[in-house]
Amino acid sequence: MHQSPRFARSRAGKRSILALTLAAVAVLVSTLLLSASGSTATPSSEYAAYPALQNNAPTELAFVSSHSATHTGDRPTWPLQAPEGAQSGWPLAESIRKLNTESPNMTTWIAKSLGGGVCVLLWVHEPAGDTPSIGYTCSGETEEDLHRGATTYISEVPGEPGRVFVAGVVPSTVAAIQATLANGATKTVAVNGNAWDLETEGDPQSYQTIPVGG
Amino acid sequence: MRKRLIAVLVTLASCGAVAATPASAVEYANHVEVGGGGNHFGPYVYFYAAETYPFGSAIACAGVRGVGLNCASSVGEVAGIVLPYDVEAEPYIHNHSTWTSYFSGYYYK
Repeated sequence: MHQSPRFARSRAGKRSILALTLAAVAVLVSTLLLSASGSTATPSSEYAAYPALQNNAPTELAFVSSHSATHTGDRPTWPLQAPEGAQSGWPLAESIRKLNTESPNMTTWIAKSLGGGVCVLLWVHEPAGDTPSIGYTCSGETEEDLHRGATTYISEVPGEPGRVFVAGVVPSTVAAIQATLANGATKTVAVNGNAWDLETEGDPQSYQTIPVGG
Repeated sequence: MRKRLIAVLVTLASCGAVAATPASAVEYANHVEVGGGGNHFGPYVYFYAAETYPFGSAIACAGVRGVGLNCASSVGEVAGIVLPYDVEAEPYIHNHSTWTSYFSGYYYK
């Protein structure tokens, strides 16, 4: 039995469409993956002192493909893709990992930056109705920068005048942080899984690292 | 058949363009001088994130006027703030140093 020419053309056409569709999907996926990944990645070995970056626990952070003006949730979100033209300090979505910090009033994450630094991300649990924002700070990409880590703080929280929320990431060679507070007193905070955090009144004056075994 | 093929390709190309086009960065301040403890406000625009880059020994903060402010604590660190949706407001730089310093500021829309 012979197929009619029209039927044969139809099958060939379907195969062409299928092949082109698969090719288009492959190109799309490749584009998304390339644009979501950093361009100047620091070698993994440089991050060896930050095992928190290997944490596989849920991030508890919603990643979004676009920032909708109609979003009404009470939790923050993070862009799935780095913005076009993003600078070296942009935290890369795929590297974000949740940290185990002490305070029940904030959530923190660690990430690699686009330029090869290390970042700390901080969400202070604002009162309902306020904009749930994430503050972040990223170090530079040099070995010295990575050795120092990053510290971020948020001080203008609605309904909490004068209250300061601080979070930091440091290498695993650091056991604790000694903060000199606004009133001159000192407070020592333990480092847990590269992370530490602190709630206080007024801007702390300085931070000093206490090495493991120190 | 050819029309159907073209329609499929156009649809896929459109989907790809939408999915692959991320938000973009706009530099609103380039190496501006800001006095110790002072602010430099950007334009009134729609955006969802602001970022501040310090120069020299400056300590940077990135803010969204009326929404929030986030600061670094060390020299050379980049500070940023990301909101879950676009707002119409002014991104701004805050100099957390007590001395006059220089910064560049970006917002993402």
